[in-house]
Amino acid sequence: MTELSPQQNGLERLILAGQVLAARELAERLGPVAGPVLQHLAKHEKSKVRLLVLELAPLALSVETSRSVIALLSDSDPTVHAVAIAVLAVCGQRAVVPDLLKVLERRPDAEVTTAVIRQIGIAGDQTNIVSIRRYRSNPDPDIAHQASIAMARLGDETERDEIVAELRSLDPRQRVQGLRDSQYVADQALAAYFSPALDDLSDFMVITSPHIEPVIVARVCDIAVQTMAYMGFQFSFAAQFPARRSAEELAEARAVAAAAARLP
Amino acid sequence: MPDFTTKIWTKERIFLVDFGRAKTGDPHMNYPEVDNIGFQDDANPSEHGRITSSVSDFENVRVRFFRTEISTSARLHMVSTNQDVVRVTDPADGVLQATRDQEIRFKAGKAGRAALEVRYNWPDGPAIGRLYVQVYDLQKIPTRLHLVKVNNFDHPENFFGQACPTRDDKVNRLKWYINQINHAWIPHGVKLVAEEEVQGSPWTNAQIGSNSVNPNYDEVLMGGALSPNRSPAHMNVYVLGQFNMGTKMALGVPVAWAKQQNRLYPKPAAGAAAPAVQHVSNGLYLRSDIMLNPVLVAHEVGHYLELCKLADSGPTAGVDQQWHSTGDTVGGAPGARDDLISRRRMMYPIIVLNQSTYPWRNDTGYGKDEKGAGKVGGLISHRRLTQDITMEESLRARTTAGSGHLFAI
Repeated sequence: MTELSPQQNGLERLILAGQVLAARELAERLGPVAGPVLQHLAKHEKSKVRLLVLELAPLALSVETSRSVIALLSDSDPTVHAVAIAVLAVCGQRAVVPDLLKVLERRPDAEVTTAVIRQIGIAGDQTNIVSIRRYRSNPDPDIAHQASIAMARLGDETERDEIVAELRSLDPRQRVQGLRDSQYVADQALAAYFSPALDDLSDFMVITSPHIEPVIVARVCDIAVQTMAYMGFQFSFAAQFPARRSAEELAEARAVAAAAARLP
Repeated sequence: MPDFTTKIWTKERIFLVDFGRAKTGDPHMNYPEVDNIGFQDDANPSEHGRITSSVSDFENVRVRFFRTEISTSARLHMVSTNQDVVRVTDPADGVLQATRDQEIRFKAGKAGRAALEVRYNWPDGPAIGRLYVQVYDLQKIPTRLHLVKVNNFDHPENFFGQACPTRDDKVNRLKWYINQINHAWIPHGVKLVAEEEVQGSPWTNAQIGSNSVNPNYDEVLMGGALSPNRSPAHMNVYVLGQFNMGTKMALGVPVAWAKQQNRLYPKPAAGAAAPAVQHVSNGLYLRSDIMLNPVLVAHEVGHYLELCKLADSGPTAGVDQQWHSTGDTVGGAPGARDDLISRRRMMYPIIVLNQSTYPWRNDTGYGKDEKGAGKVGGLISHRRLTQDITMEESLRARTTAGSGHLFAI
C-alpha cells in the first residue's frame, strides 16, 4: 500500500478505534480517497473492523472500495460474508469486472454466484457477455435467469427478446417477471412493450404490511407503473410507492409508455 | 396392578408422560417453550414427541415434566440419549420424583439433537416418552438502534410507557427491550446484539419527502432506507416518537419483501439511470409514545426473519404467502386456524388474539398486558409439515439469520 495521507491515517485510526459515527463522517467527506484505507483494513484480523469497512463502503465509492468488498465475499466470518453480499451493489466500476469474474472462477455458492453475475451485468460491457454465457444453462434457475438478464443488460439482443416475450406473455407471473427484468436492464425503450401489463387488471400481490387494514392488493398494471418510475420515467404523482392506481393514473402511465414507443 | 388401564388400539397412542413450559408469563431463555404442535416431522420422520431447544453451553434450562397417565408410584428415570448435547442436572441421578409433575433442569452442550427419554423402572428400561432437545450454536445479529427525530419532532418523556427524561434513560429502555426480545429468541439460537453506539438519526424532508412530524407508512419506509447512519452491516431498529400507520405499533420489514415491493431509495431522477447505490427499506420500526409489550416486538423480529412465509424465487420472490401462524393467506381470513396451541405461537397476530370476548382464550400462558388483554405467546415451531408453510419456524429463522437475506445496503 502506498503511504497514506494524514486524513487517510485519521480514518484508519477511527475505524480501528471503532468510532463509527466519526468514521462514517470522515469516509463520506473523503469519498473515493477513503478507498485505499478500506482495502487495507479489509484484511484486518478482527471481524468487527471488517464489518465497519463494509458499512463505510457505500460512502466511499471507488475501485479500491469495491475490491475490499469483493475480497470479503469469501470471508470466513458468516456475518461478514452475508454483509459483503448485501454491499456488492457498490461495485459498479468497469475496472472491477475482472475481479468479479475471478470470484466466479472459484465456483462460489449460488447466492454469491447470482449476486456477482448481477453486478457484472451492471458494471460490465458487451465484451463480458461471453464470460457469463455459460451460466445461462446453469441448473439453478435463479443463476440461469440472472445470467440471461445480465446478458440482456450488456446488449445481447436474444436475451433482450426474452424479456419482451415475458412482457407479452398472457401469464401475469411472466409479465411481472418481465417488468422486474426491465427495471434491472434499465433500458427505457423496453417500456414500449409495457402495454399488455398496463392493461392487466389481475391482482398480483399484497402491498400492505401485516396488521395494516385494509389489505391492499396491487395489480399487474400497478406494478408496471411503479416499475416505470424506477426506470426514470416522470409522473405527475408519486409513482415510486406501491399503490392501487386510479384510472387517471393508469391512463397517464399508458401515455408515457406510448411516448417511449415512439422514441427512435 | 398395572399403572394404567386404558386400552390401546393399534392406531391410537396414549401419552403416559408429557412435558411443558416450566413457567408462565413472559418468555425467558431459561424456560424455553415445549413445542407440542405435531407428532409428525417430515424433516425427521423417525422422531415422535415434544421438542424444545436451547443454545450451546447454556446451563440451567428448565422444563416441566408431567405424569399424565402413569402412577406416582411408578419408578421413572430421565436419561439423555447424548450427554454431549444435553445432560440432566436436576434430578442429578435422573430418578424422577413420585409426584404428578416436577421441574427438570438440564445443561445444553454442543450443537445437535438429542432426546431426554423417560424410562420405566430402570435407566435402561422401556422408554415411555421423550422430549427432543435441539441445541444450536448461538448466531449473533448485530443491531443498530436509531433514536429518530422526524422533522425535529422528539420522543416523549414517557418512552415506551416509562418515564425516561434523559437520552441515557431512553437508550437503557431500548436495551431493556432488546434483552427481552432475546429471551424469546435465544432458545432458537438467535441473539440481537445492540452495539454500544446508539445513533442519533434526524429525518427531514430529505429522508421522508415531506415536512410531516407524523409520517405515514410510505414516508416511514422511505425514511428507513435513507436514514443517516443506516448500516448495511446491522439490523437497523428505527425508533420514532410517533407515526401514522393505522393501528400499527411496530413493524418488522424483511429484506426480501422490501425488495419485492421496490422499496428502494432514492429512485432514479427523471430520465436518469438508477443511482449507483439504492438503499432498501428493511428494518424494525417502533414508535415510542405507547407501551409495547416486548414479545410483540419479538413477533416483529419474527417478520424480519421471514417467519411470515415469503416466496423463494421467480417473479414472486419475496412476495408474502403467509403473514401469520393462523394459517392466513395474506388478504384472506386471518383467523382460519384458531386453537389452544395456535394462540401460544409467537406469530399469532395480536389483533386476532385480543378480538375474543372470552378472556380464557386470550391468556395463553404468557399473562396479560396492563389493559388486561392477552399477551402474544412465545412458541416458535420446530417440526416440518410439508403441507403447512407456517411450520419449522425455528430453523427457518436461523437460516435467514445466517444468510445474505438478513442485511441490505
